[in-house]
Amino acid sequence: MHTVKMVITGAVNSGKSQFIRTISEIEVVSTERKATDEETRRLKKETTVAMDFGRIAVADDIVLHLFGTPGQKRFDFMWEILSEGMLGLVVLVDSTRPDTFRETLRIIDFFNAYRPMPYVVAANKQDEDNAWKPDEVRLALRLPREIKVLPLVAKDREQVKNVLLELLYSILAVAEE
Amino acid sequence: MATRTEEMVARLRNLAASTADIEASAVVSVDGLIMASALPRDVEEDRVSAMSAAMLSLGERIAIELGRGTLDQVFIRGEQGYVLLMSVGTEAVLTALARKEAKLGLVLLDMRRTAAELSRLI
Repeated sequence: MHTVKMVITGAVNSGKSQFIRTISEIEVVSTERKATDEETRRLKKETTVAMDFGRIAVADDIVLHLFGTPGQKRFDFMWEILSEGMLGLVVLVDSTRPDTFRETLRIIDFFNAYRPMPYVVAANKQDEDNAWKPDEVRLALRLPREIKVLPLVAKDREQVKNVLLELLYSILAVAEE
Repeated sequence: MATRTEEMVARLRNLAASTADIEASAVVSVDGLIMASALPRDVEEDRVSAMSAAMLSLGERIAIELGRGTLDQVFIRGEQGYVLLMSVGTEAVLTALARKEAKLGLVLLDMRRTAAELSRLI
């Protein structure tokens, strides 16, 4: 049995907790607490303060362990803690809020500086009218060509699974090199 | 009239004055923002706040997950002393640093009293 540790990250309200809830086959370990800062409160009532944890088997011998991070910068020590031993990163983007793209880049830089590793970007909230398309998100974030930018609606199990499998393929490709 | 933050800081000062064992303390919202503090100047209070909230939330989860019921306190012991966390009502966390020789029973008692007072202010 192979266990693959993946970290799910992204700016505040990009859909990280939802992403893990949608796919996990165990009850998710979540740490949501009432949001009190203005910036977060405008978006939602509760926010993750430590981590989310979920698990999904994708083949007879491969189990994915999914660790979701808090979004706010003040929790960046959790980003470091959760990075320990990870093999790949999913970066979620709220495609309806281009004002969060800069923060998304900062998060990618943070993880890359810590240790470069395979990652995919998921352009979440594609079911909303004003969502930027994955190609537009790629352009805005100026991502290198080899980085996959995938469409996502985090409530949709198949789409979440697709993102995870694409990351898994990237991890395997790097492992083979 | 004192502001709410000033009242909270006054409670924290009382806590430190009640026993020489408590070196510093802070009140933090459950989502990790500082509300009031009596911390040494070299401590980055924003980081301590966020860590306190993260630690308390994991403590609450693990206590329930492992059938230990509602969390009462989180207790961290390092070579140089203790970090103690306790919830203040449902909205905040009280974090205190204690010396390594501290008499923990008394420290916890004082913290509990302070947490009760603070919860009325929040």
